[in-house]
Amino acid sequence: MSATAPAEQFNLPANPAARDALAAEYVLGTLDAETSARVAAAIDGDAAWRAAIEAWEARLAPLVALIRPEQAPADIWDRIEARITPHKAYVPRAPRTSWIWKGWAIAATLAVAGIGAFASLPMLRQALPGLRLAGPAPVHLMGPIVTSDSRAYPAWIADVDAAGDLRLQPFRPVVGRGALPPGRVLQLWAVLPGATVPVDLGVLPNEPRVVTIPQRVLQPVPEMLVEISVEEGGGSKTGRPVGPVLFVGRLVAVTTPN
Amino acid sequence: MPAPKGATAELLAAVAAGDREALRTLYRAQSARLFGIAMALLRDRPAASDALQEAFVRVWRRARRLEPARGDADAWLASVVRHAALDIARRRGREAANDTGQAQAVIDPDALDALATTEPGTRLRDSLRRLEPKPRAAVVLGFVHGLSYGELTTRLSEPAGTARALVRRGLASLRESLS
Repeated sequence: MSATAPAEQFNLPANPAARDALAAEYVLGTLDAETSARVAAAIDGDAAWRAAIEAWEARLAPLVALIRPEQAPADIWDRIEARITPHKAYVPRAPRTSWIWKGWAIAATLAVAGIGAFASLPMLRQALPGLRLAGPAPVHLMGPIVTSDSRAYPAWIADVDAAGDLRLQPFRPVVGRGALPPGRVLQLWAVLPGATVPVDLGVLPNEPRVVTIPQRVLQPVPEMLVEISVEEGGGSKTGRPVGPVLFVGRLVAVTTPN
Repeated sequence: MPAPKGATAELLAAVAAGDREALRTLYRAQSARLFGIAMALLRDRPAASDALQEAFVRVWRRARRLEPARGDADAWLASVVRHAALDIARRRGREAANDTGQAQAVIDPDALDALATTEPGTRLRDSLRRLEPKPRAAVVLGFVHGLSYGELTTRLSEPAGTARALVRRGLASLRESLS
């Protein structure tokens, strides 16, 4: 029985000398983004690549002793915790003052207010004309999808519609959409609570419109994370993001007053 | 100063078992060392902050993959931060870092005595010293500062296109002397 070696699947060399040279450059950091992503994807499934990379990490690791430590900014732990902890929205310490559009300010206020936000539902409807929420169910799963950097600009609202399907509704303008380079797509992922690998929900359409994921593909649950990565061409086929995760969000259970 | 090896490995084992407090303890112990590594690569505080944040989220999700018997826990943490920072550097275009207008400290690739505090560090220092200056600089500056081939070409005053050969020569020599 012969199975395709994972490295071949990612179009990486099988011969040990070429593998070793590429592994060295991967660890050093001189590979381009695309090749580096393929090497990173091969590591999990290919013991020979994993060994080659670990050997180079071990050889070069002592170099970090040359680097001076530096005090990290105070809010980073809060941001880490918000991404890994249920029931926790990141509340920024400094007030945000630069807004492209009034709608962003409303949506960002909702994003940081977390579960208590839905007293502002009329404001949300004002910011998003045509926003549809499931009703009349008293408990609803939803959450803002925001940029994963320190600005945390909202880009979509994720929720579960009347049919029980995951739904993404974009804000206008969608942050980053105008800047999406040619040949790149946005790809949607869900991380179920306690999971270490994401569920591939596919590539998002280029134009900003409502996206629905049927329940047979994914059953949305509270505290489920949503991630959106930027990928090349037809998207990552590796079962996890290859490109950077630029947008993140979490579904929380909220009550929706009328 | 990183925590003693045993402490980091134990904390990572607790993180792998889902202990969030252990991750926080790890963050407190290591954030300065790891933020320094991210800053050396990105030379930009917001970007380095994003790298450190992304790295710890990856540590949280991947900790169970690190087999304690294999590898140095402090080195593993540093590599997670390095790769998160390199992803950010490639995303924004590495040359952008040089437009900050600030003089950024770049390490001296010949000042390697600080490596000699451990046995692997001493062997690496000795091997690097056996390289010619330009391949040594290419390897050290590439690793510490994440310089692209273009940036290395400029910094080493080499003809265009030769940086990759310098890097490969340096790495090949290291492989021989460190096997």
